[in-house]
Amino acid sequence: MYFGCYLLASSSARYRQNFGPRRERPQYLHVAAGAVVAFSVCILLQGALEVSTLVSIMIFNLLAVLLAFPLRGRLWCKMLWLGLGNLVGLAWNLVWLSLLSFTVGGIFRIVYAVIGPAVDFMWIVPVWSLGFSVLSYVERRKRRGERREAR
Amino acid sequence: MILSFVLTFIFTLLVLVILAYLVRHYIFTLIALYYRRGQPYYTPHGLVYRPTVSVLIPAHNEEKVIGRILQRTTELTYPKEKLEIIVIDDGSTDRTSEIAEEIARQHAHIKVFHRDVETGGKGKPAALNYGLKHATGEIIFLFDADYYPQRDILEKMVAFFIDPEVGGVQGRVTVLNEPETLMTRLVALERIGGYRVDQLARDDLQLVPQLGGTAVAVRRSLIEFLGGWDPNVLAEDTDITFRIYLAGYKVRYVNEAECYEEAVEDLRSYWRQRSRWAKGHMQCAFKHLWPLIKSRNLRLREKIDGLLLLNIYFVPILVGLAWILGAALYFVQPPQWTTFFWASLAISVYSAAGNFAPFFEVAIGAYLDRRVRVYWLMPLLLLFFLYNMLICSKALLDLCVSKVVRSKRLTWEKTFHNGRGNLYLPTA
Repeated sequence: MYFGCYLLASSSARYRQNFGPRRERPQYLHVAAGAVVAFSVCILLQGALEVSTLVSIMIFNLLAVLLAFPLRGRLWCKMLWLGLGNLVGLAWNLVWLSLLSFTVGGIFRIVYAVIGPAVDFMWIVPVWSLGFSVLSYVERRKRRGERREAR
Repeated sequence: MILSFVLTFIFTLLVLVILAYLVRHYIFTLIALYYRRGQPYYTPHGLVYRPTVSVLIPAHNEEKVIGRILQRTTELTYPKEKLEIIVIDDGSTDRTSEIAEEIARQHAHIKVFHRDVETGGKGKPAALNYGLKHATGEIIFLFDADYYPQRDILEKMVAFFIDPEVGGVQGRVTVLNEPETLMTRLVALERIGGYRVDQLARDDLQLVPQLGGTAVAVRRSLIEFLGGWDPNVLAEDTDITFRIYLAGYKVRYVNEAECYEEAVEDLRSYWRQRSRWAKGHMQCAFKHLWPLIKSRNLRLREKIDGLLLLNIYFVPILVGLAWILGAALYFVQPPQWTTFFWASLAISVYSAAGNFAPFFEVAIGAYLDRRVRVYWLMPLLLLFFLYNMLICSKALLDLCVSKVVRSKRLTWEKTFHNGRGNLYLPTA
């Protein structure tokens, strides 16, 4: 059923004077674990990578650790996602840098310099969003299962 | 040398402004997710407050949707003896008036007032002022004709007026026709980020939640004191928000008071609607910037948030400028600029992508709404932002032209509603 209509039907029937929006409880342990792993990855890769690659991987890790790790969900699932994201980032930048070295001094270098961050957006946001989608889906399934058991 | 220094200085300034917006959005996201000690989100001591209410529905050629909202107003749970519905037929040339009159004949609390074709159709603020003259309620509600409110929306929003400092209350706007087109899906994401995260966080932090053009309630005495809506401003909602704050009152946002809108379905309609919003918002920025800074009725944090809010439609233009300037500087002084250029461009992209709410704010809003299948649309928000960059630049240009060539008056571009939202209603 369309989500809006679900809300329309449910909330109008259950009016209370006391209402408040849904909030989360941050998983600090997950954030700490994620921060350690993300930081270690960046330190390890620091010498080996070109600065643009490192910046884009750092942005992905920052987004993942600060906004996704505190949410409800299994730690291994989040770690797997972080690892996959870093691998995708490495592969993506490897392809772009190969193209760059292949066309040294050419127009490609200029284009890459100007639109680089927007190009990186093409892997960071989809991978980040995909992980978010999985996290939401797993959480929703878990909650459904709990509700079924309670009945 | 001097030119290079000046350009570097401007570029750094632009990056700092963009960074300020990024930090603001990040704080809002965390607040919407975790903050539990915000403003009270209920009527104090469980008191039930039921003042008289007038609902204004301005309608200009809305035959496809006017019946739907009027039918819905008959289903509202608010006591009918304390409620009046005022339809302002704003010079319609279609069947709007006929449909409204027909429903009004069956329900005593619905009244229809007409403006003829010559005086009407000049924009929403003028229609609202006309409706206000006929309204008798203590609290004035505004609904656009294409909206579909929850049955108990009036109770939820009216409750906040028990606080005498509250001048206006904003409800949440959700897209009704979300599955219709890719555009409606993207607008829905924008709404999620804007309301579920942005507005809620601003309310929690006691900053400046903004009144939208619909699902809005204002105190009648206050709006009369302010002299009604300004017909010369294209964003009468932003204008009234700041006038309320400058008068020493505040605005509350109620996330649970939901109202469903028919979102624009194609790029052309989106351009027209957002262009009006951008021009109106920029008008408000020019109008209220200095009074906001000078005002003694606002605290420092309200002033800072108000300042950022007023200038939000300039951000896409600033990002574009920073990009062009950064690229130019990169090629003038490549070695030392490499890292800084990369980092600042990244900041621009991540604060900008997703229109006025960055993609992470939208994603968190969707997560809090327990949405699952919307995340695949996130990358498209970048295209949406680029489109808004054009809209805002054109709007600024139009505004400047209208200032220089005084003869050119900004006109109200009406958004067309086709009534396809009916398909998504439970009764349809």
